[in-house]
Amino acid sequence: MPNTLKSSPGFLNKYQFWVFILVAIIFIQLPIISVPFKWLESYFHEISHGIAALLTGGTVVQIELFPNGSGLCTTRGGFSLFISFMGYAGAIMWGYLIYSIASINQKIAKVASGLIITLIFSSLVFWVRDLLTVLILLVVLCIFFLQFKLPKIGYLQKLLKFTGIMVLLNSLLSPLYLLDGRSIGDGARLAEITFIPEIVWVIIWSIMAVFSLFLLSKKS
Amino acid sequence: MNINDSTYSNLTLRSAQGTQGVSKANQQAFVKPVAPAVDENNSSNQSENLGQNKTRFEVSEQAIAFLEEQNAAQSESSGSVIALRDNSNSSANSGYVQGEQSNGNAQYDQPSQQNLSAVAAYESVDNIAQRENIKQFFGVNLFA
Repeated sequence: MPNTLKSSPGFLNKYQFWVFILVAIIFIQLPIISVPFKWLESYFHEISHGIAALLTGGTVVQIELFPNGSGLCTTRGGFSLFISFMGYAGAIMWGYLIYSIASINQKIAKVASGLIITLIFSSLVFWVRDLLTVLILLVVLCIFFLQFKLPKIGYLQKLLKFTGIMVLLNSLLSPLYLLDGRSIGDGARLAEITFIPEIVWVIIWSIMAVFSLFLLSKKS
Repeated sequence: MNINDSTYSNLTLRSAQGTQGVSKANQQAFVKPVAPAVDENNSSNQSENLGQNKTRFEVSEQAIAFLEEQNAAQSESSGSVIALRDNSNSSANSGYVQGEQSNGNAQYDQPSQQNLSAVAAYESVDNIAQRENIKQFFGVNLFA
């Protein structure tokens, strides 16, 4: 059980997970505030493609992020099926991991936040080649850096958990954009490789996201 | 003095008219080479000109018939525009031409909105084809 819940068993702490979900749903609807969180989810999506490429013997050539929340990861080599699948799946895992690790305790939350900052900074140095992506990643970096620099470590823990929920909720919604009949994106590529229709992959990712949320709600 | 002046002025005027006539004839010849021959030989070679005109008309009929046959053959052989686009980069242009022809061969001044959107669609697909080529050339994969 998280330390925050032990120390202050108020209503907000008791139903912290559901409060985060509610606030996250409201945030996603807001036009400007939701944008950096979309970029965050997009970054975790693209970095998951990149990590999958590295894990399967490939290399990452470039990562690009766009203001509308879309992104592009250019890789060379690796196992194409796994790399394609890991975009949305990876973002879901990142959301789940961020929330779970932040729930363990405050010190681990701080370490996790530091590791994410290191990862984003490394991506910026090694895989980002264009100015627009640099600016977007700097904004994403600021989200974690401000959390890291908060005077009270308890706030960092809560904000990191909220960030995890935002990533997870965006990961739940973003595969649904693939259902536009255009056959573009990871779902279409997977359908091309496996002959399993795009809708099946979208359903798999959606189930993964819902299941992750369910697991987190059980933990909280 | 007067005669000389008038003669000079007449000569000058005539030469000016002559020059104008020559330049006009040259312009007509440049723009439309067939028209002066019809005007000049209006009285003497009328029947011959009519024969020439008739010959010319027959040629253009044949050309139209030939073009129509070509169009029919193209549309039969191509099957669909999308298949052409996938095969080569120039196929997008052929798709555009086909789109124009289907709209009646004469609407070249102001393309309709439908045509414009079709061109945009073809261009976007052409870009995708180019991207595919680049991906194959450099041996990289793009994941969106």
